[in-house]
Amino acid sequence: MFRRLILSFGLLGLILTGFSNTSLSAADQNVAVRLLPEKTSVAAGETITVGIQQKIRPGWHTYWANPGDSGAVIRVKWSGAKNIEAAPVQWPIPKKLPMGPLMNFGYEDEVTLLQDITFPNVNGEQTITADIELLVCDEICIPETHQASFIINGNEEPVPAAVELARTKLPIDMGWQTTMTEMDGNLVVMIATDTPNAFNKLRSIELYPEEWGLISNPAKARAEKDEGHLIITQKRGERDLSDAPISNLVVVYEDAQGARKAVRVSGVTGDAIPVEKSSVVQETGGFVKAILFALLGGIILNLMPCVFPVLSMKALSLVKLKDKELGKARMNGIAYTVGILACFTVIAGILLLLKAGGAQVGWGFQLQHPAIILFLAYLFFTLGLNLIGFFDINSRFVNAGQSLTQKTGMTGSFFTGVLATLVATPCTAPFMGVAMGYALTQPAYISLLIFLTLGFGLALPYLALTFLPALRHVLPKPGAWMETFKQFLAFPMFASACWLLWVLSQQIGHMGQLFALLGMLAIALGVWLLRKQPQRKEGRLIVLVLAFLTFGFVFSTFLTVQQDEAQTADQITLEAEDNWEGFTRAKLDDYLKGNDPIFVNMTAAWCITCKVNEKVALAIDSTRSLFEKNNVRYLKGDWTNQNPEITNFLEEYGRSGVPLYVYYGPRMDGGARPEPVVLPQILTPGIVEDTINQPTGEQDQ
Amino acid sequence: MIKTFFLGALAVLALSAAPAMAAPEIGKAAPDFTATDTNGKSHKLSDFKGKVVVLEWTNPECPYVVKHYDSKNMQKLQEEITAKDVVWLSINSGAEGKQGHLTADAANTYIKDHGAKQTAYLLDPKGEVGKAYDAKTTPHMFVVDKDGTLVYDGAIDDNDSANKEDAAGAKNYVTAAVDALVAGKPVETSKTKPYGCGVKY
Repeated sequence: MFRRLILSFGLLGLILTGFSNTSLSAADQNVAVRLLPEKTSVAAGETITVGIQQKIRPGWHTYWANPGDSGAVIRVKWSGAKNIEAAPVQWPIPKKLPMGPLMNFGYEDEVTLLQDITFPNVNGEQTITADIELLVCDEICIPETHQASFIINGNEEPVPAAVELARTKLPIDMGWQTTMTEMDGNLVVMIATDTPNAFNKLRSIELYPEEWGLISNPAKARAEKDEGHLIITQKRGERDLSDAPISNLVVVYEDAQGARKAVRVSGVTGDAIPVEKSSVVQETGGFVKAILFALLGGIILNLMPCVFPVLSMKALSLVKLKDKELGKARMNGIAYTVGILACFTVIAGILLLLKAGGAQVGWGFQLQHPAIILFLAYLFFTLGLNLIGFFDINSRFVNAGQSLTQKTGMTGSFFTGVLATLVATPCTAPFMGVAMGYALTQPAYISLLIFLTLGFGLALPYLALTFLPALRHVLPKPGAWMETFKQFLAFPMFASACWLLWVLSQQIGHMGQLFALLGMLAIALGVWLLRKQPQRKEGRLIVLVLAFLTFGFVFSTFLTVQQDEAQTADQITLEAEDNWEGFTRAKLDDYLKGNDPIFVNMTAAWCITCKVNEKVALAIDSTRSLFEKNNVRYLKGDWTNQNPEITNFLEEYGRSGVPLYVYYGPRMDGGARPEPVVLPQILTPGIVEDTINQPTGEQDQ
Repeated sequence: MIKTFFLGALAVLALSAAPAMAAPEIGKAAPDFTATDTNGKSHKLSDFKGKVVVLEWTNPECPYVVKHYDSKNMQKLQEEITAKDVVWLSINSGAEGKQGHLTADAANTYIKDHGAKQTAYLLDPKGEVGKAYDAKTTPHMFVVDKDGTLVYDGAIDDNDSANKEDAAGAKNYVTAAVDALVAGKPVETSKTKPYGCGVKY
């Protein structure tokens, strides 16, 4: 027993004294240390980020910036070039490591700390060495010393990808205003944000102050949220708050998908930020606003190019109905509304189910699947053919939706409602985004209510026409113009089909687009064949078989639209020849650390509003030069296909779909950034200019 | 509204109150305790009223304790401080079976081998004294004044390295506190972050 004790003391002595000669981490140590330089070709005055990777023996742990009740912070000394300057260590998200009644904060298995190293002087090939002292513990603790090095301006390859990966594990720095107050033996941390509902989805919240003694480390944090605040309460620690009036705080949470994430804020001792008198009223305010916006969005949806023709046809049928009894019109209106609401319930139901299952979806999620785009393209094309008079619904053949919609009476109206919803899905109207974003952060019944309100808004104009005779009298008198108008309406339909084909080409490439075009050709051929009604039986049979084959081909095209792997930002970046870069969280975080302003544009090929905004306000010379003049970092996220990183970002800003434009103003000299600004969903060059030239930019003076 | 939040938070805290250790407060009476030393003698804190008392949490196998004993820093400190008519109690709160737990005999051998100069070496294998003081690390130091008031709680010095060469040059908080008390001055630094290994309760 004693011999062992003495032996272990001797070993410890060896470890403690034998530092200077260890050139590499010894294999029998509990931690293996390796340096991961982001760059190895370094000019004088340059700063590079170096990862300090620790591979920790299973069951053992090392420590975070604040190690908790015991433990020690790693010490790193750099040498090998003259006057090396090392910035503070950047710490990945820590975890809780309980030990009996004590609590430590640190890392297990593997962790990579990051440190920015500046080389004021360089002199050809140099070996840069880090002398590291760290404490590694399981139940017992062992201090270890390590020496690790890398060569600059020699043959050593840099490992930027490893550094980039390590960056994704850092908490995200947020400029959110944060106060720390002592109240009844607790530390109350109040974090304020302008981003509505930013905190809604956070679960399992943990608080990690970088300063020691502010909280009782083993105690649990309790979190309260309202629209713009997160309030974290944890039993106070032993140190006076006045002794650490400012502390960085890392708030760790689980997001909706169960991923462990964290933000870092700077907490200042002081009175809690006053919250609006009643956040309950605020909440209902948000709900009322969302309902109003949903209704408004639904009504405006009627005017979108994809919906307008369908509604027009429906309205025209009212012109004919004029003389008939009112009751029938009303029943039609109700059936139409029920059709829309039923369809919305189904779509909302699927959406909510997918969300509950943890899928990364938002409004427009349907359009991320090429098969649905293809189906809609065919539907628009067929509707167009019908409107232009290429075929008549009253023909003998049965063609799914249309024949049903043309059925006289209530069934027909019901299916027109369904059709209207279907064709409305690729369109987003102003006001819809806000309502949908709100809906998806709420409990299921509220989400459904908002979806149904949107549907009701879509149904409302027609419903009003059927119920208010005065309105119907505004409609022009029936006549030959109706046929001309009907034919004209085919063109918005064809236009919508063209656009969907373009979206498809973005999703599945040129071959997919070719098959889709051939599919349309086959639809036209099939319809033409069915219109031929030979007198002889054999002839009819041949036509039927041919038509069957053509439509068979149309269906087979759905098999060709396999969705590509979710497009990565790298691919997008490669294509970038413009003034923007592909959005990744890591890139945004990186830029947020810098001082330049950042403009984030979340878009998708199937989002027409997005495309219009780009044409009108973003991809224009004046905006380009505005960005250039202000050093704006322009990040564009493409949500055409699924991309969880973008979905997460949208959710942080309370949105469930694109477009989303966020502007992060420049950092004041060494200070914090102003709160990010969310731009409206409809952009004008003026709005963009005003946002970038707003008063927060005055620090230039 | 916000009050409701806090009340709610409080209620939950009260319900989920972990077996939290009662942290002693600076400027308040130090928690009284009775413990047995390595020679079987019982010591009660309140019996030392009229004298300054230093409490040292220790674990012979903790590298940070090793740092201060191998460098003779701790022994020197014990000698200097007890010479000022101050009581020095070393306390081992290591539970049986955990690293650093010592029987009375083993502890006496350790004291002899290392030339330790404390007034008494107390054995607290159940961790009762340790928890009363919320002792977190080894070494974790406390200083109690003549009236039984806690005046210092924290680290032994301002260099939390495990390297024994660093012991000599560090600013020693315990010396500073005792010197202030002896000179009849207020203790300047009364709270620091204790460093070292966790106490093996």
